[in-house]
Amino acid sequence: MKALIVSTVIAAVLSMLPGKAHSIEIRTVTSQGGITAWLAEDQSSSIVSLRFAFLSGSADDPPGKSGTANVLAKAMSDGGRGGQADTFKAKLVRWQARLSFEAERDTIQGRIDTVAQSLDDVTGLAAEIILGDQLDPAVVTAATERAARDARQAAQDTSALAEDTWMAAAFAGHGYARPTSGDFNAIPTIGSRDLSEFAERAFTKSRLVVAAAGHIDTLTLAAVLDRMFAALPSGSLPKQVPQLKAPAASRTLTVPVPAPDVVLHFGASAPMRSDSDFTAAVVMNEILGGAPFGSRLTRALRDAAGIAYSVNSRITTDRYSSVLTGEAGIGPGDSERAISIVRGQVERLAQEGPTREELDNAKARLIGSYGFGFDSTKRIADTLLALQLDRLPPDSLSTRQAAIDSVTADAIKAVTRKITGEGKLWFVVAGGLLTKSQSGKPNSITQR
Amino acid sequence: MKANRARLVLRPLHLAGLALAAAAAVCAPAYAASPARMLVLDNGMQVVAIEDHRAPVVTHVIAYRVGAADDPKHASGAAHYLEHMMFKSAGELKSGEYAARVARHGGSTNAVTSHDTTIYHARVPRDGLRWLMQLEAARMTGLDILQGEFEAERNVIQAERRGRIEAAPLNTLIEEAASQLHVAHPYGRPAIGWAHEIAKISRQHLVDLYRHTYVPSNAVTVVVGDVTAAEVFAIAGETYGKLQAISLAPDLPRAEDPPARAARRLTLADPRVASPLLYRVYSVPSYLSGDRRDALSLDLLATILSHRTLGRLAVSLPEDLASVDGGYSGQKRDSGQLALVLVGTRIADPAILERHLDDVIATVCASGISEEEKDTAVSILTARRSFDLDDQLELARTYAETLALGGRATDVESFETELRAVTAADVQHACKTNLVPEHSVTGMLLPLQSRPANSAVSETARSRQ
Repeated sequence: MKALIVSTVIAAVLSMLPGKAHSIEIRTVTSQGGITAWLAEDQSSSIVSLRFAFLSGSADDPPGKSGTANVLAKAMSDGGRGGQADTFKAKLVRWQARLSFEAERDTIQGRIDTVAQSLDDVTGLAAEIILGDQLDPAVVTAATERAARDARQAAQDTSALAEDTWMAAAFAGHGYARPTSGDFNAIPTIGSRDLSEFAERAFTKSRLVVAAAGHIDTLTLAAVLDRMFAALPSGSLPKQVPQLKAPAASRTLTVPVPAPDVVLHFGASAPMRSDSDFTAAVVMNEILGGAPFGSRLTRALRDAAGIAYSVNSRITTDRYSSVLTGEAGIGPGDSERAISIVRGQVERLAQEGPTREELDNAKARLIGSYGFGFDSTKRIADTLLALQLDRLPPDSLSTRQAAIDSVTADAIKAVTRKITGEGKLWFVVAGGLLTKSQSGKPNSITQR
Repeated sequence: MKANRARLVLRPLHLAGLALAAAAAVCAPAYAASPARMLVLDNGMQVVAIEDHRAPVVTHVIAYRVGAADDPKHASGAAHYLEHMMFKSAGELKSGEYAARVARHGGSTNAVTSHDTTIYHARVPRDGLRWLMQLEAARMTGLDILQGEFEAERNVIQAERRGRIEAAPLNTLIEEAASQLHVAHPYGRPAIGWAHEIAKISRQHLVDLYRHTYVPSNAVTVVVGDVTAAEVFAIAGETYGKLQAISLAPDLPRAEDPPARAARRLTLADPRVASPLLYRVYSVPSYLSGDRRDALSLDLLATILSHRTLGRLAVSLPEDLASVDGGYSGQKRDSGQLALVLVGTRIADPAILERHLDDVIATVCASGISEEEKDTAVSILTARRSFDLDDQLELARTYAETLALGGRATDVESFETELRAVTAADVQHACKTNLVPEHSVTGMLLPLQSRPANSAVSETARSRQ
């Protein structure tokens, strides 16, 4: 089948990385049916990895039905769409293939990893699940029960509760306020009809993003794209909204959880990927709490004050938001002190900037670690999908390293002020209750 | 890093890892872009190079032929303790500097102590291979084991033991079962060590172990990544090649188990257990101790019995059974293990779980398996390997472990062909010969309602204050 229309080399991805030029080359492939994918072909691998995403996720769960995307992804992972449930798992095992779906905040993502000779079989099965219109009631029931159980368990996890509480307060009124796993009270009310309606809105060509890697050439990929996606309706893109920003509140929320230790969670809005100071923010996070050894927060909270077992921070970008968040595991009674130390550290970084050594180390680690996103077929496919979801142009791969290298100490100061200044950084304290009798419900928040 | 350091230290104890352990235990055809090339340095160190140019990174693995089964008498956990100390002071290298330097370059490092080997890995950008080998050589020859650092690490190791064993009732049961399975052989002692023996390990224990076993001729280095074999051999020659050859004392013979005459049973009731669980483990030949065809047959047998969805135990699921697991740990110098796990529903009768297990085993041993079942099991095992070995680290570790155990590089490469040659009759024979009661320990894990549920939790809290 000659379904291929266009195949263009868009980047020799790794040529800007230290060392010699590399053999990974990324092409865009557009099939006859109009489906486009990024491809990193590697005939030396025996594996093919496909990643795809539909731009509808838990943030799009209907009102009162938080968990719909999650249940749908779980049911599809069990073959519960397209009348395949009975034989689904056995087929995958025989074909030596893996096929699963997962709900994220902005997307439902599909993953296929298979030995090359089973590619036709597994993509045929995936097509039936994606295009199929009937849901298997038994599979839906099982998926709903499992989702409710998982969500209930997450509601007892101190760290997850702290993060969920911060997100709920930061993005009140938006879908990002709800955890991806859903509300365990709402999940049992989700029925097949809710799932079908969600799938109908989500599974359209205009919302589709695809990446492929490994033992697959352009013609084969084009045929796979048409088999899996060409019959989808065109649909419409999700509407564009400006960046959602967490309010500047300078506050601390407490969540009573019956756990001995305390999780201190903190966060603030950060630059979006498309912003010119995004790279500076990434380097700043590395210095503040991202690095595994010797970040400022680790030195201050763990090494100097001795009140934290662990501390780390990160920048998470979603379609409509970007946040710098972090957490520290601390002992009960230490939360006030820990909060004041974190505040003091960000103020110092904003005023004095990083030392030369800190800046150099952060850059070296960020530049050096990048290659590890390309060291197996699965990870290459993951990375190619992530880049597209971040709406990055292909040449950002080669400009990334230079952008990191050019971040200055002044840029770190400025971006620290921008992210954390004027009460933008605020906190959640979860845990610290030892008795079983007290409730750990996330709605029992007290504001101080 | 510490939390992960000895991730596979107790590999057979890690349930989800059981099946993986079986897969990682052996190896298949050319998964990497280029074949493995080997060089033996003048000082006896084996160096293997595999080119993989997908990303500008290298994975360096060094395996020492020493493990927990070589721990001194009354000092179980010594090899694992030494593994921790390898990240501390070594001459010019300050404590923690090795890991910090790897991390600063964007890489990662960790180590795993098992009964027969201690395996260290580090992943760095491709141009870091030289300094990495220099650091590795420095800590192979100049480790200090300072008294202060040594004593401080004891708490870390005891905490690791509590987190891995005491915190997980199933792992406690598995540790107890191993001690019953091997009444004399050191495989009966936990790789991480018993708490009361960790408490008594002396600095001298580690110094002796280090001096006698951390020498070039007792090590295998494998490098996979974006370097040519010629570059690997050149850099290895300029770093490891400069190390003095040290003759290795012959291995002390390990104690052997007496002939097994009776099936053994254990019961552990614990308030943290939600549902009854049955754990059955058999002592069986390994890839290294026995005939390879027997080991391959056992790998297939374990899969046919205990695969989560297609295994015999899973497809004839009685109502009381919630899930099954299991696997063959054959990548051992002496004996291997075949383990089977049945998890019941909350209200399951453990006796029904055991009857189900015994019925399924009896049927397979008496009537054998179909060609189709065998083919499916071959598919499962070869696919698992294809996925595992597509990953640089797994590929490097597989070669390093195989060679350190005394296997050959061709054992890695011919696995799939050998596996396909096993017949259904071979699998039945492996069942009849090996799955016999007197070579087994059966452990029951049962819920216990009467004690307060979170006593362990409060204790942890107190010790942290």
